[in-house]
Amino acid sequence: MLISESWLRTWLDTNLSIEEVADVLTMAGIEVDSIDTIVPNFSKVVLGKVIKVAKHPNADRLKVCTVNVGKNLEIICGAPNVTENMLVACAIDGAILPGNIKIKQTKMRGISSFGMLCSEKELGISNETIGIMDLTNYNSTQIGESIRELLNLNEKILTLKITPNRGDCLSVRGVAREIFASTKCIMKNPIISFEKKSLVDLSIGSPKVLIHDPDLCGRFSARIIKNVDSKVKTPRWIVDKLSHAGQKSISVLVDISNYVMLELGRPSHIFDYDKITLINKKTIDVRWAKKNEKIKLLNSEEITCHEFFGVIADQEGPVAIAGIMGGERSAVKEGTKNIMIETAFWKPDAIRGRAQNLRFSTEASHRFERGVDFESTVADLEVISSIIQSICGGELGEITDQISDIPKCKKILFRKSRCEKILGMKVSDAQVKEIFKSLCFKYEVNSEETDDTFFVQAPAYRFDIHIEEDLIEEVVRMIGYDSIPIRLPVSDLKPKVMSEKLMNFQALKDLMVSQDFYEVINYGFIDDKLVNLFKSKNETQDISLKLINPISSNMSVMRHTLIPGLINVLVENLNNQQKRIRIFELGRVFIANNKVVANKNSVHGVEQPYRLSALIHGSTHHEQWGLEDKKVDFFDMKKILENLLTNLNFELRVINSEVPFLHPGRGALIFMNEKNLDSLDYFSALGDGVIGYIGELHPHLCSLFDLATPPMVFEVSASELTLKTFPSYKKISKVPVVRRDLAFIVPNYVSVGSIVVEVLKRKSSFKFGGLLLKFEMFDLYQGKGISDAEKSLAFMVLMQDTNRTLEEYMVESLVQDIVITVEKNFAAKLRA
Amino acid sequence: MSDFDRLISEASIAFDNSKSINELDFAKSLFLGKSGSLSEVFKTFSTATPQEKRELGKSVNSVKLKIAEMLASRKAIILATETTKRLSEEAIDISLPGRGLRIGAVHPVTRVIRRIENIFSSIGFDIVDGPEIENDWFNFTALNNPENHPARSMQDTFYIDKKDENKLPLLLRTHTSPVQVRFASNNNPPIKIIAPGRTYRVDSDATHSPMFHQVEGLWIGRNINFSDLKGLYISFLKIFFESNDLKIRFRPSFFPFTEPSAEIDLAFPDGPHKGKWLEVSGAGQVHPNVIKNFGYDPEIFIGFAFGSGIERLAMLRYGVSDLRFFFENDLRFLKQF
Repeated sequence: MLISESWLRTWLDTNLSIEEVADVLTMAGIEVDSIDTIVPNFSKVVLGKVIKVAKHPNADRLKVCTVNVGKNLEIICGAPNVTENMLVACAIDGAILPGNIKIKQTKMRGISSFGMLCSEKELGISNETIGIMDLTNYNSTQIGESIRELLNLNEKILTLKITPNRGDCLSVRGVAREIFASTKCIMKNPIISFEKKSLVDLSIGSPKVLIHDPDLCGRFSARIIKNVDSKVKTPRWIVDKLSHAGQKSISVLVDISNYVMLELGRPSHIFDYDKITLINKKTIDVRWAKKNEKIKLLNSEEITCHEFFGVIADQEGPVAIAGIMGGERSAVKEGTKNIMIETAFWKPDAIRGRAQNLRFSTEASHRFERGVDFESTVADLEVISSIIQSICGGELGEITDQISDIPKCKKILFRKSRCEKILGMKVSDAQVKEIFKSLCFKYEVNSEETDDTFFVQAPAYRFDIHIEEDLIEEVVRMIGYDSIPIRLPVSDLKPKVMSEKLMNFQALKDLMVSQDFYEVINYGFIDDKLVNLFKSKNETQDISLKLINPISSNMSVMRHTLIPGLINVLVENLNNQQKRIRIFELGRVFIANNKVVANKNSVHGVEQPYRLSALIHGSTHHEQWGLEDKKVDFFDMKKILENLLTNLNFELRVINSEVPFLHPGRGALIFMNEKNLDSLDYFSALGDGVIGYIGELHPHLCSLFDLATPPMVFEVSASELTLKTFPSYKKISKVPVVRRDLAFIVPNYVSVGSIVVEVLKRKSSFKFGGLLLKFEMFDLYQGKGISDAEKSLAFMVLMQDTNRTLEEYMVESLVQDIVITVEKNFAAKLRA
Repeated sequence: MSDFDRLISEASIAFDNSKSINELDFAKSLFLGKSGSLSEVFKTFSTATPQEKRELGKSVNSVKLKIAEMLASRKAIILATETTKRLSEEAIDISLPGRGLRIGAVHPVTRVIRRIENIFSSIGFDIVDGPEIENDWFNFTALNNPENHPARSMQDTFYIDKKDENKLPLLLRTHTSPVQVRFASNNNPPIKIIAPGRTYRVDSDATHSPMFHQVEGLWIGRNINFSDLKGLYISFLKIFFESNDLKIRFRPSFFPFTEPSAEIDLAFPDGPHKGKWLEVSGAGQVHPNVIKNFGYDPEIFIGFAFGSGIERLAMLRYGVSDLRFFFENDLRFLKQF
């Protein structure tokens, strides 16, 4: 809300500067966001009178003017509208105009100019560039006086941020009340002359109003004024005030209504009474709307109502949407003669959400949904009537004042002890009484209690005072938050630290960082077009969660995987000439799943697990000497994952084409334990022994994202990675380990993993299987000496008996068993 | 000059002329070897008298010792020279960059969250977490913010096309405050928690992001008051920014879930924001209705809550000028942390 300094000061008698006033307000909870002057700074611009206008001898468009600014100055001016006897804004030698433009004596086409005649734009008053300002309306006795003073351009405007609980501060009077309460300055009443009870013409009668629904309207006050002149120009003092509050002048009656709203916080509505149809003495009805009732509003929008909205209606239907906006049919226009003014108390609950529902907000609805004083409808109606009568004339009819149900100002118990407990400071009886008095709260000392307790009643304009804590806030607001002592709380300290068997997400992130990764953070929502690209084709139920009100379609569906976000980051960074990219994100994904029931950590129907996802692209290492430049492949990513999983008992198994966005031959599911791999859908399987997937991005996605080389990605369920193996010491044997290397030639289709699994599975059936310490592949050879359909795999066999040195025959036997197993099961030949 | 003296001087010359260990070994064999000069002298033993033998033996021994000594010292010199030479040949350009992988970095938001977690953990706060898709109860109603209340328009909410068990649409939490209710209603006081996390609001411009991070704080006990809140939060800010010269003020504000409520502003003694009041947090004594929704009696248990914007703290701490940098994930930005 905007309030001008001079307007605010009409209510207050205070020595405080506007900056001090702003500080008082801010520290009382009425935040002053900024103090601005209405125009930018400029200096040495004074009122001048053009005495003589002559043609410039050397330029067609320029004129040589003699201007009286107390003395006569020769000034060259190019404005077409300059005439003799015109009063003008004249910048004299040494003036500084907005934009730091300095005005000095200068020569124009051979003739000296001793200043400048200014347009509104040059002074920053408006964007008006056509000609210089015409100030002929001003008094020529003020020649030589500063324009800023004369046009009141030093006016300061406060921008206030009023919190939603303080509807009572949405007016100049309301803000002034706060300053009064905080500073104990003198409060004035600038509208006292309009508060008098006006003479009523009894022949006019009062409007017949019937409140049908007390839950909509608690009080309805109205009066008719006949024979108003609605064509009168709005007086300058009202136009200025509206303009300082950021509002445009519309027409005199509307302007008066708006002015009173800004001054007193009282929204009112003025109807053209002749347009209200009441046949057979029917009443004006105040009620909830009927379904499909239509009304065309002042903003020309046609609304189809339903029971959610309140209306004021005549014989023909609604003439206004209660508390929000009037209808066009009964709007005051030029030529309106007889009017009805309404000041009502609309129940906040009956107004809330309605303007939002219509997708616009009005000054009236903004106030009514926060609560407007229900006691002063008649008094404020008198003020509006007096102002209208004083400007537009007319005869006042009697006021009708229907009261259906107005809130009771309830007495709230205030215990000083409770106040001190909540605040952590002592307050005195006198202090509390003084504060309640300054806020116009009524209080009685509760004599039944030994403790200092009060019964307190807030005024009708305060809709935020319901309970004792609200009163405590009022007390501390007035004492000042600065006065609350700063104390460090005392509490019992219990030592606590995370179990050593667990790893937190921080440690996971650090493991990624130590492998040259940067952490990224993406939005929780992604492009709806991306979602389908990253879904499995044979999915039976829709796992995606859409936003009802997204900002745009590229942020419209909750992510069910972190991979699309990482790819977006990759693409953006490639565009920024980054060549090697290693990124990860640890965050939640969102999956619709009706099996999820709401509990202390979840909401109904939605899974929100944390995932850790990573992406690498480009070279394995940053460009450096002494290392061969190599593009990342599956196995670089696998090692990164293995390093993460070091402490876990996991198994990585390759499975074909189950993850639709990974290369069918270069993708894998990651298992915690042995699983039946048939019919596994990677998303539904996640968490069911499967902890994630790893692989190369599918070629069709690479081309879609215009990626020349494929990125490697993985995604794992982060919570599965937090269980650590607790270390347990095993005796280190002094007996030496025996190593034998075995190389087999096997067909290309045989996987290394399957050979290792087979050997380890059969270990127990070998005679000396118990001696096998490790069976691990260490070299792969393809090429010369081996057919294209085959490869050579070298395995190391480590054997040890922890108690004694191995005998040669044991070693031979074990190696033989392994060789036989591999040759028999995998069409393998031992290399000589 | 006796034969022995000549022998010594010859050996000395021969050793000095040896430039390597090999040459020295050869020279050694000339004097001390089986067919070397000293062996020749020993051969004359057979014809000598016992008296002569004794004296000869003495002389030969001293010559032998002398030559061995010269040999050792020459050997040391050659070894030293050779080592020096080898070392100088082996010298590398130590200014070449180190080889191998670099180390990355966590996101600045994570960095700030860790700092906050460390500060509050050090005084016994638990760090807790809650869902990002929330329901109406936890995000609003339990926090004393009923439907259609104007306070709801303070936080423009993203709604999800799915309803909860009460047929109200699910939503993206607009603040971390729902974690208060979730945690407190499942635990007994004293409650001392912080809850950092992602939050969402329908807002997108230079100073607003549709997703951002907050940290929620909650301390409930029998006597946790506004003065404690001031003390705790002021010391938190001073430690976070490592500055005792920060100016910090509490001023009245409004949140449905606290009463009295405060906005916390800080002002730096220097730097680009010098002297300007900057909002960093909303806070207050937890509203009795919310305490009731926790399942506690507000006459017995009181306490405070606060919520602070993480990106705001990160921007002030690291001088980041635009909120949007945090979610563009430009590596040129991320590598600065």
